[in-house]
Amino acid sequence: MSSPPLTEPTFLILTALADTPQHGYGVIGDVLEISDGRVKLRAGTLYAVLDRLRTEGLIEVEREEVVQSRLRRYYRLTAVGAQRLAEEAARLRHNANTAGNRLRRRDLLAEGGVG
Amino acid sequence: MTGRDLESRYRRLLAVYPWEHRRRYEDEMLGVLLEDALPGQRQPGIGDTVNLVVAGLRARLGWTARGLTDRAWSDAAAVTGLLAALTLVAVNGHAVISNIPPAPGPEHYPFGGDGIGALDWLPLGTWAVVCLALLAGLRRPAIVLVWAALLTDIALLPSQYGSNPIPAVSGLWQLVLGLVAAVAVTVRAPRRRALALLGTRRLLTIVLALATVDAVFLINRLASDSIGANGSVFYVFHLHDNKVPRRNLELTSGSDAQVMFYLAFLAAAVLALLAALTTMDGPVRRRIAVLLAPVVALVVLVEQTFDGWAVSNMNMGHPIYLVAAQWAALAAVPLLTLVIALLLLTRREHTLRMVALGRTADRNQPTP
Repeated sequence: MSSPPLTEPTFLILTALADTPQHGYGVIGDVLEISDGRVKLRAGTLYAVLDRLRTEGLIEVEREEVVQSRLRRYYRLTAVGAQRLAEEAARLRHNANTAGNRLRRRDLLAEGGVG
Repeated sequence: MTGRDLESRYRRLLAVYPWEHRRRYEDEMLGVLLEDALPGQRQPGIGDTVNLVVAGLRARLGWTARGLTDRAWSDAAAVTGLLAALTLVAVNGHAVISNIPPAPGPEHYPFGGDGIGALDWLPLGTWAVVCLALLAGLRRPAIVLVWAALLTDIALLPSQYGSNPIPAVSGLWQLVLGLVAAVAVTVRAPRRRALALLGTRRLLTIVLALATVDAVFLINRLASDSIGANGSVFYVFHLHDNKVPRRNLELTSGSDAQVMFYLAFLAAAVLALLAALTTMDGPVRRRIAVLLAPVVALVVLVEQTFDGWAVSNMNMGHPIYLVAAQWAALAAVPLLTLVIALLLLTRREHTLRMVALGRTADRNQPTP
């Protein structure tokens, strides 16, 4: 049975961690950049997702450091997390391609639209 | 100073999260929130406040749900299911014994019931088969039987209550115990988990203790046919302090010593039962107590507060039915007891965790 689709914040957080291990604030900045400024994660949302992803084994703590006497954890994608992200990216790509093809077939696709 | 104000305000907001979440993430989240704050900001923004409160409450629900599905709960459910089913075998066995009619003969004091009908054996047989199915690891048949027995009891309750409300109300705890058994048996658990957790010795102790209770009443019932004949003195010992006489909770005997003998066996059975349960693993034992607390609360409620109603019922010559407030109490007290028991369990286990953490910290950093 295939896994349920990821929510957008979950997908973007996994994408942010696919590049390099990052701490919480780094993830927020990276997600903002990946989404072209559209998705600004708040701390409550971020840590709800991180906690769930950790429980499901999709991410893990890479290292911890203390900055200004406060704990900072760096998270990284696990092999299972990478696989899950790849599956989700393929699913989204397939849907996007199908939508693009159908729009193109009926000449409804504007210039520069979905490829 | 501004940063400290903001930090303490964020800390207060983070108190919405459950303790386990705060222990794991609070420091990190504070770091993120403070890094994200604007220069000179003293108050958390509305967006962050709403986000933290909503996420905190969701986390609280999530942790509670996780807590309810943890292994200790499914283990406790497995044991409670079997324990409740065994208890209901004993209770229904006792009902059959109470219905044994008195021996024929005009000289005897009329101890005993009206005779055993085929329907008296049905609940006894059903719960006995449930126990055997659970012990054999046949979970699905056990689930079907337990729910069928419970739904039958629920369906029969209105007619029983309509014709004679006293036994219907005083027997409500059996219905709740049946419900506890049904829910507990339905919780997913490995095959024969209850047997694995109890162990053969503990299970035998429980079965023997319950059988002893029934055996005492059976022997007493059969022996009572020979007492009270020709006007000889006999003793009746009431096992309850209710003003309503209940033959099924009485011990009759030709001498004080005999009553003491019966009581000694009953006490030994209860002690053995308690010993078997109190020696179980702490988290499972505490959860069994939580699951059975509503049943105990209902017994206490009915025994302590409904005797006036029962006495009126007996003396009026026609049934007096419960009023809405009494029904509300019968429904609310077990539920409230369950909630309080859950809160006490959470508090107790939180304290135990803190003590364990303190011990670990002491070991890692011994005082000079």
